[in-house]
Amino acid sequence: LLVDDHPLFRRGLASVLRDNPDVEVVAEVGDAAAARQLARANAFDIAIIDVLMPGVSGISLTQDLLDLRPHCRVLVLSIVDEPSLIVELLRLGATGFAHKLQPIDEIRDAIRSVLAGTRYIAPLLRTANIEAKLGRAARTARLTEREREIFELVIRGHRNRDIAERFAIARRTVETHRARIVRKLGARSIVAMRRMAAVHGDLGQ
Amino acid sequence: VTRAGRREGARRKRARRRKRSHDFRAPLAALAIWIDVLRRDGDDPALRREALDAIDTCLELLMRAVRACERELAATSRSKSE
Repeated sequence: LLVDDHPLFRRGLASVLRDNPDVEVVAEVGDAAAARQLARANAFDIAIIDVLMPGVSGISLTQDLLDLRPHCRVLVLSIVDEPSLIVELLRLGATGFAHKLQPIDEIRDAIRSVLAGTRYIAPLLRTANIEAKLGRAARTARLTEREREIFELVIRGHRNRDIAERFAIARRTVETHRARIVRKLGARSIVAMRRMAAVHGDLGQ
Repeated sequence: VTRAGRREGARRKRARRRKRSHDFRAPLAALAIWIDVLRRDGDDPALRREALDAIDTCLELLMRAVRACERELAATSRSKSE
């Protein structure tokens, strides 16, 4: 399934993909609403989607497609190269992020990788920053919802007493949560936690 | 200029830069893909015609982006000299 609001690029990509005997383009659409509708009615192995589309972002479309078709793979193919966006999309369940200005053969490789379930990040975008964010994202993903809430307050400098009052729980319970957070994140001090939150991006903002 | 004003100015600048970058990159990406189509399937008359039309459109979009950039640069240097 191809989803891109630029008809020129979408049609060109469909043309290129049709040359591959192992790939069948089930449908190509220009907006998220049409993509959702198609996903409800048709099964597909991979959705290749753009990020910047009118009305809706690739982020919410990624979520919707994976909700509708949990076994499909999502490859984001975009001209955007912001590390935080790439990390967010991969965290949401996209398997790969390729860049539209990559050589076509590399885009084909990206599709193959993603179909095989292997994470793909375009070589020109694979920076230490992104790898670090993904590593930390994986760690923070292990936190429970309550632990994440407490983590956010801790890095903002709230004391255990304030946190306990806020959630109407015992101070001792907050301490237990904090101990678990420290263990799960491997961050021993508040400074280390803040650093983690800063590079992670979606926590502590 | 207040801090909020400076922030807003910086935000607008970023948004403008992002839009300009998009205006150039989107047709470039399409151009690259259609050149690949032409290389591989240039013998097919229908595909060849479609690829050439697409390349024409991409070039037109790129020219438009160049002209918009030139206008912006001219406006910036005018406002700096005033």
